[in-house]
Amino acid sequence: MPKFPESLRKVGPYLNIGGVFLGCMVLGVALGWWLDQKLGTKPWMLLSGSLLGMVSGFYHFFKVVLRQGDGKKHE
Amino acid sequence: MGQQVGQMILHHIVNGPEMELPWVTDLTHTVHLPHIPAFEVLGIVIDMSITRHVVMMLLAAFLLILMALFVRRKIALVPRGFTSMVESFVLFIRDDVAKATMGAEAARRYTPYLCTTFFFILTCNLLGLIPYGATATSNVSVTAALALMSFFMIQGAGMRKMGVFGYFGHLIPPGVPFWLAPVMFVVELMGVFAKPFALCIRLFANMVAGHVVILSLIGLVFVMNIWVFPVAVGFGVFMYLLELFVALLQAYIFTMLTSLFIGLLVVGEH
Repeated sequence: MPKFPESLRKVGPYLNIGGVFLGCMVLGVALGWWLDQKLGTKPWMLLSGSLLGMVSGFYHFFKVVLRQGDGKKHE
Repeated sequence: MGQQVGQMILHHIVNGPEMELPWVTDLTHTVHLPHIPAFEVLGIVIDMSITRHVVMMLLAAFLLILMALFVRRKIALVPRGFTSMVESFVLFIRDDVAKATMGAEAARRYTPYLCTTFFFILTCNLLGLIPYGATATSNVSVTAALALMSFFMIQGAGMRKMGVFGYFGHLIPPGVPFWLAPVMFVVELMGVFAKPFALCIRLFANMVAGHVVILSLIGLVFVMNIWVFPVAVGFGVFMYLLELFVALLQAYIFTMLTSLFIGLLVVGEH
């Protein structure tokens, strides 16, 4: 039976998935909004920022999930 | 009444310039903390006033220094009592957190930082659970500062290992077509910033949520009826015990994730 710290460590990478997903989106939207304010390109930077946020959110999500799956296969 | 309970909850969560102390024989038990006038550096207004959370952080730092001095004096081959407890925590962080995620060599370098974060967050969390205390870690500025330190630590570790250019080059995954490389660079860069952001929000949200739940449960007595007290207090005590666990767990998770991110950069190609 794996010890408690051991299982916590294994769950570690997954603990951050939700946060990083959220963080990417918030950062993308915030960056787009800020650029819109600076450049006066009202909706476009916000829209592309949100898209970028979503893409990177999903990218990091799948990166963690798929990498962990790979690791298990090699073991 | 509901509104008053809401205000009471908010008052206990947010930072403020006054603090309640048991030995102040005023009706409100309140002391006003010193106010330092705000000054401006490079167009940024900085207010260095001592607030409730600052007092709690200073107290935590003071307690930790005392603890370190005490443990340092009692060091022995077979430690006993409090020293033994501290040693087991430190050993746990060194062996089960640092060594497991980044290998023995890097663990030696980064264990002091990880221990500092762990003990500081743990002490801040626990200080919020004692009566008259305030949780410094339920202030988003505090957790943001902690996450920022972890951010610099993680990036610094990566740059130390791979060199500054190597570090930025590593952000583009190998085998990406050249037209996709700039996009991937930006996407990876978002992840670099999103990780500490997630650390900051997680600690903050967990500490706020627990306190809000406890206070709301006790507030039920005032909002509904005095006879809900067995349920309210029972659940309140249960949540309090859960909070004790969460205080430990969140300190551990913050430390472990910092260690994991350093490990991902230091161990090399994963």
